Amino acid sequence: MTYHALVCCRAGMGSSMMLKIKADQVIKENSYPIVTRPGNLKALHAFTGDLVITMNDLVDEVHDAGIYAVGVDDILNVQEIKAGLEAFLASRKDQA
Amino acid sequence: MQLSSLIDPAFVQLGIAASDWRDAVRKSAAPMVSAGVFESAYVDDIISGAEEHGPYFVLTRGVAMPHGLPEAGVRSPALGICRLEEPVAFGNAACDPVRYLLPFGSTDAEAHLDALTALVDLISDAMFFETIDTALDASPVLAYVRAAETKREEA
Repeated sequence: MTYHALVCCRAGMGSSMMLKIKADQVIKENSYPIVTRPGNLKALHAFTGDLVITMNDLVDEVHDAGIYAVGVDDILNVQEIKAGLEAFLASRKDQA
Repeated sequence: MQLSSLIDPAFVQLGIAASDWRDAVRKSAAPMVSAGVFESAYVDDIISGAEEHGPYFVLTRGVAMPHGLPEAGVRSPALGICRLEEPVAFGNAACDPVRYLLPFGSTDAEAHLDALTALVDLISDAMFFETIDTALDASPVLAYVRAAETKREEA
């Protein structure tokens, strides 16, 4: 099972690309079954993946769209990204 | 495209006085507006975006990369480096106050993946900020960015 994550910010240009680069490092180092692609808030409407990784400011908007969201305050904080992704994986395990 | 090719020496500003985050964003992007690479509407969009959604472009402790929707007015891709005289709060408790602004505009983020990957490395590098802190003009800052690029290419 591979989970599909959208890494997004408002514009899909800057923060989201930087966050995607960092999240991909964490995913690779820990061999998480997650693949990411970048996007912006508009991409949420057509979203068919499993989770969204985004800046914390935007988490509420993603939740409102009914999508699992991992929010990050500091894109260089590997522990924060790791904890968020592990919480997501644990939530899926419970459902299985 | 290389990171250094996005940074014109005029886009490097050291010791800028800003009264609040809005002022900081405007001043950090002012050289790009003067050069015609950003329209002033693009800067307005950055500010209204942060007012509506929160400061989504604060990246890490003390560092923000103000950017908005490209269609709001990016004519060509550019990155600035701005050190504030005194840091200002943006409203991200984990990362405030912000001293360094990296105003960015791009029309195709995928095309700048290499440049942004290099930027992630640079903002993880304390020596990069030390260089910005001690620089009197743009040249040592740009030299540091270029040296980091060369190191990446050799790695």
